[in-house]
This record gives sequence, C-alpha cells and structure tokens, in this order.
Amino acid sequence: MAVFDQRKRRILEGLQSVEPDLSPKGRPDDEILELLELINSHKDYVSTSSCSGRAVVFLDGDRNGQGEEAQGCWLMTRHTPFDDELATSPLEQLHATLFGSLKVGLDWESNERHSRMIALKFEPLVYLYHV
Amino acid sequence: MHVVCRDISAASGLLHLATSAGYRESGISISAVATPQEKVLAAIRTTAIRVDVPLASCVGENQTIRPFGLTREYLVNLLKIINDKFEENEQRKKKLLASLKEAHAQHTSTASETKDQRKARKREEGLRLQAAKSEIHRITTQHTMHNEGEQDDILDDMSLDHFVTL
Repeated sequence: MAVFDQRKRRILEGLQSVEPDLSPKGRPDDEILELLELINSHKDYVSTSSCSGRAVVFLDGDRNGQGEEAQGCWLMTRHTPFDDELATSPLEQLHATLFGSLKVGLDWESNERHSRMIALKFEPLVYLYHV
Repeated sequence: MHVVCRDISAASGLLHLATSAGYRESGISISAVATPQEKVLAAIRTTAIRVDVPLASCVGENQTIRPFGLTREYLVNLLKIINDKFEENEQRKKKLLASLKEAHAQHTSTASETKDQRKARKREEGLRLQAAKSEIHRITTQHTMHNEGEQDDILDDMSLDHFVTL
C-alpha cells in the first residue's frame, strides 16, 4: 500500500476515535463536516484539521506566570453569529458575553505593569483539528 | 484547513480550486522531499476576513479585566462587524464547496465509467461532431460558393475548433 494510503487510513481512524483533540471543541464542527467528507471521499486527499470559522475572545498567556496563568485561555468561543438582541443590551451584558464571569474593573491605565492582553478575534476556516 | 495530498499534482489541483474560491493565502508545503516518506500538505486559508482587536488587559491575582475604553456603542458595532465576517465566511465556504463538488463530479464521472458507458459516450460525441461538421459544411458551402478552393481548409479549421470546444 502506498505511503499516502497508509496515512489516509490512520487519519480517518483517528477521526472516529472518541478521544477529544486539543481544540476547545475537541471535534470537527458540524458545519464543516460536509466539506471534510467531500475531501476525504476523494482518493488523493485527506483532511487533517479544520474549523468552519469562529469568533473568540482570547486571554494571552503570562510568560512569567506559573501553571494555568502561563497558558492563554479562551474566554469565549462561538461558531455562529451573535444574537441581534445584543444591539440593545446594556454594557454589562456585552461584557458578560465577551469576558464570561471575569470581573470588569476600571479602564486600563497605561502606567500599569504586569498585564495580559485580551483580544477579540474572528478566524475564518482555520485549522484546529490535529491528528 | 489542512489537507494531506497524494502528490504535488493532486495538491496543485486543490490549491487552484481554493485560490479561485477566494482562499488566496492558501499554499502547499512539502516535507521529507524526494524520500518515500514525502508528505505533501495543502493549507487552505484566507486572511481577508480576519479580525484581531485588542479589548482589554487582565491584571492582578484575582484576574480583573481593565477595558481599553470600551463604550456600549463601540462593542455593539464590533459585534455587528463580526457578524458580517461570519456571513462572508459562509459565502466563501459555499463557493469552495461548490467548486470541490464540481471537480469531484467530473473526476468520478470519467473514473467510474464502464466499457459500455465509454463506448456510448464516444458514440454520442462522434454523432455530435458529425452533425456539427455537416452543419459547418452547409454554412461554408453557402458562403464560399464563389471561392471553392478554400472551402476544405475552412472546413478543417472550423471542425477542429469545434472539436476542441466539445
């Protein structure tokens, strides 16, 4: 069997396994399954990683920190658009949507040291699913 | 999205589809070149609809968020922009899916053809070519009555063109 066919078989077996991968969702998104199936049904291709596109709020890791702090984390991930109702929501609700349960304090002052950046990102059709 | 491909030619076909569907920053990477373990990877991606906006800093032991002056209006507009990106992302995915489907259908229709199906297809093509030829013949004889010497050349050129477009 050609090297490619062996690889393809291993990858497809991995997709069916129950162990979650490293991405926050742990599985390929439902929305992208059709695309993956189409690619994988072709004899010359096999997809190793995919995500249909998502909006995330990411808290950067802390290089000087230890344990959990040293790693960044997602405060929000979503694969579908925001609800229209948010357009009329109070600021507190917008904060809760973006930052989850973290407490929101006063505005940032530039002379403060030791901080970790929080950013809102949109990532189109990115890869997440590692095999 | 990453796709492992059988060889460079398969990867290049996929790359062509992806860039035409708007995934312009797609590319191919090859590892272990020219060894039996050679691995050809196509990465399908676009940076055109990315957003990356700093919102706040996170400070202190108790992880307090210190916003970069975020007003309600600003956040509402930001979320609207993100929703537009979701929509655009859907459009591009649909386009990619459609061109993959088309390529796939073409591939399977010729690959899975039986001997009889091929015979029937060739016969059909032959009949169409013949019909086209006699039509061209009819037209060219009408138009070149006074110049019969050139008729065959014209007929040959035109039927060749026609054959190519079939």
